Amino acid sequence: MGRYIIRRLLWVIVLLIVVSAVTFLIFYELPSANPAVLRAGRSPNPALIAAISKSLGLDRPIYVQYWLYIKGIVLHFNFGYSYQFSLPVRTMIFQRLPATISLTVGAVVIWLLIGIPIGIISAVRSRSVMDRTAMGGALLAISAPSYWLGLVALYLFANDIGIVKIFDGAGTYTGLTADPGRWFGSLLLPWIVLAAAFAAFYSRLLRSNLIETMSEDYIRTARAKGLSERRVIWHHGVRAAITPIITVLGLDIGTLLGGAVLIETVFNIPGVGRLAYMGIENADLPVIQGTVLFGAFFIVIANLVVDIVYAFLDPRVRYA
Amino acid sequence: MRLLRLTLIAAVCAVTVAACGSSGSSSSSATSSSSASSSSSSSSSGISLVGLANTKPDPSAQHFGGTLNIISGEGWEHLDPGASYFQIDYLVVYATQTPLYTFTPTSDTPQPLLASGPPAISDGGKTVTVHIKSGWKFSNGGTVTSKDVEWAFMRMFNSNVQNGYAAGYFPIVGANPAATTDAPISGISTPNTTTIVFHLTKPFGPTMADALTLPGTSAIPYGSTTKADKSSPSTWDSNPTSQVFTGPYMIQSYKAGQSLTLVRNPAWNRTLDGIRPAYADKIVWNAGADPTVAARQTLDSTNLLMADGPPAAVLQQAYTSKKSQLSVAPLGIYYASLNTTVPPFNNLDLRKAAIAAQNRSAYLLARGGPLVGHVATHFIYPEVPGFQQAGGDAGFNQDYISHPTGDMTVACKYMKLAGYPNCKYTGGYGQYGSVLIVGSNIAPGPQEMQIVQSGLNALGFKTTIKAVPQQTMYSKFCGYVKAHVNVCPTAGWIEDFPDPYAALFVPFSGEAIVPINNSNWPVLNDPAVNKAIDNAAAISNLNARYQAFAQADKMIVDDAPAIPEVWADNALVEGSKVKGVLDPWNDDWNLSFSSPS
Repeated sequence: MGRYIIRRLLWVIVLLIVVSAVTFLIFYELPSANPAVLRAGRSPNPALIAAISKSLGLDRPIYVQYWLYIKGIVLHFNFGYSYQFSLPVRTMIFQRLPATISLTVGAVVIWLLIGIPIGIISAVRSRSVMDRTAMGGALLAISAPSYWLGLVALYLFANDIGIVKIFDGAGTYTGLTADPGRWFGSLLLPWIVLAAAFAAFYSRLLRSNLIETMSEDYIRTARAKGLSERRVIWHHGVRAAITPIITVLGLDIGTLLGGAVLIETVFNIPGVGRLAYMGIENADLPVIQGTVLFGAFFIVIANLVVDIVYAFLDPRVRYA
Repeated sequence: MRLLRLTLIAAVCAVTVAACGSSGSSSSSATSSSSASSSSSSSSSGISLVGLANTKPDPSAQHFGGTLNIISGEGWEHLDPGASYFQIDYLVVYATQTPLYTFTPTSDTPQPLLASGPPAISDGGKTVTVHIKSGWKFSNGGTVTSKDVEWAFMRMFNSNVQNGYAAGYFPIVGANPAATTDAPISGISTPNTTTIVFHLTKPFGPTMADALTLPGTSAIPYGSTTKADKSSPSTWDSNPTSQVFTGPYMIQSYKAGQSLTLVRNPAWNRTLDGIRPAYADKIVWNAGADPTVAARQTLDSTNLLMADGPPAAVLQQAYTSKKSQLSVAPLGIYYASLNTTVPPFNNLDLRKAAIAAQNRSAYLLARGGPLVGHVATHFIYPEVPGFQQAGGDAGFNQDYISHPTGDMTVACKYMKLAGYPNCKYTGGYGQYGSVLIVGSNIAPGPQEMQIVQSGLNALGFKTTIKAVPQQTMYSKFCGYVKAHVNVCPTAGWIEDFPDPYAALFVPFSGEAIVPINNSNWPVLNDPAVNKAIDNAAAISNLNARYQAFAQADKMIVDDAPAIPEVWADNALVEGSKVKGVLDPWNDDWNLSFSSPS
């Protein structure tokens, strides 16, 4: 297992280099706008553009530019400066990471607390009224775009513009350390909205896996041995059926840590996703690059963690 | 010299047009650039303004104290007064800094702010002398002197500070816009601590007097930013809380794109200021909101001001049911540029034919109907002085402009004059083999491109449409001269200060053409127009000045470099109890004049 982990970590580095190279190529060699011109502002004279090109190293060969960029990241953890805000991209991302982590962790807890029990109950009582209702609701939740769901939730339940004023509205996010109570209240509605589609998907996934698992021979054997139904379901059925959930969970967490763009935008949560959206809106290339790399980092790490956890959960899995 | 942000105006909303009432032919026009929506019963597009918010100052009803709450979708770009050049940024910078002069919510002539009186213009307009008030303090306790104003100008010409207008509005002897340090400028002298003298390269004094209202003229302690300004970009912009302030407020906290808090500047002297009341004790601004949500939050609140315009659907709701929380005021102009340097529109008659064939009313519909403006006929727009002298709504009555829905008979006339007796174009094209139309890929860009395409196709032009991101449009196509794009239908302009020079020079003077990030999208370089603008810029007498610029406007329309689309209005919303006061020239709130109640 140790060798497997080391090998995977090395692949993480290779993967990140590839992602950074592709991102660099897209944004600097095939850009939607000239970076020096974006930096120069309105009506710049050619001398100014040339000066900025030189200071950004844009007059050098592409491989030199890329080398300088990678060197900056590896040696100084420097992702460059935002064209729009003139701030270090690293600073901006780290300032916003707590909000994204808060949003992700809370949503994960909620969707697991909702999705797993519903999935189990639906599987155990498949084709019942409860199962059909739950799966129908899940289909609705998966189909509804999260942006739309967020707006509807605000218009129904936000305490400033909602009809039933029970949750904090958009723009009320406060840091955990600043005011834990307000932090919790400001994220409740975003958590629920973000968790909705995931809970629906996980419940459907677990339901189908568990139905299949519960038809296995060893389940029948467990029952024949006189184990209680609850024990059969939890210790034998769910344990086997939940491993794909772990895989998907890891990927979803990794993706969300790169920024839940739509939810952060609707609820005005100052997270990494919102930063990425602003970067795209304003062609702020360093910000776009930085957030893409961060997102890629979390996804590849999440993949690795998931694979390791999978090996512990399923003794049949052994890595060479 | 500010390109109009397309996101300010509502998106396509044909439904809104029907609900808004009449499509609005010309009606009463603004006679003064400072007239806000409540000064007349209808907007320049004919929409009823009765019942809309009163956005003029009302000292008898406004109260001191409390917290002013602002919300916006847009964040701030530059809060360094030397770099600041964006509508939203101006709200903060004009509250925290002190330029030499300012336009107030009720004046359309510059009022002395840091200056003690009007500038003295001499030497045929080539020397401008300004005296500043004694005893003005920085927030760190230092006293403002003329050397500190000189430093502000030195910074503006440092390319690391990235000022967007210094070279255009301050033609000072010895100023080098490509400098990379805060270098002394030989044309600026400070004979004593309260006097600063500018020696100009051309007779530009009367126009520079208006430009001294720009935020870059705010005093900065001499030498204090040397280290920061050596970096590219200057790091003085990175942490606005560490700046030194001269305005009624100072920045207490700042998170880029997220939040901003202003508190009273204890060193500011209301009596010495004489202009800004500064009602609120504190100003809290949350940015980055979804515009739809933010607009609804504002309308449902008692205490919010929304700093950017509401989306179309919310605008309609506000106009229908919450009029007292809505303001509508003139903003700028939208037009479609026709490249005058490459075929086919390097031919004047073909440009006139193209304009005549356009359904310009369709552009208004694409932007949201009469609530967002009305059809334009020339290039000085309603809020800019000189509009009435330029004929007001009717303009100069050229036949190719007179019909808002287009006139194929007139178009055919000009096609024949261009040598196409069948009224269909059969001539050559430039490098693209057709008329290349490039516009923004966000609404209403695609709709506008289709409108212009439709008019051109009716005249037999082959056309190609290319929709691109806005920044790409600016830097790689429409703003890149060598790209030779034929038509850019999503051009827009808002003046930097209420003077016709600021409305006409950069978009239409050949002297303003730069190879990259160019804003003269038609690449119009008519020596007669250039000279007319330059001559008008040297005139001090306001009536004569506005007449001269009106004549320049006529010459531009005669050159037909662009299809005038819409004179845009901007809508803003506010809470039910807050008192928002508008700066008409910036068409946004003035934080020093607004109050929580």
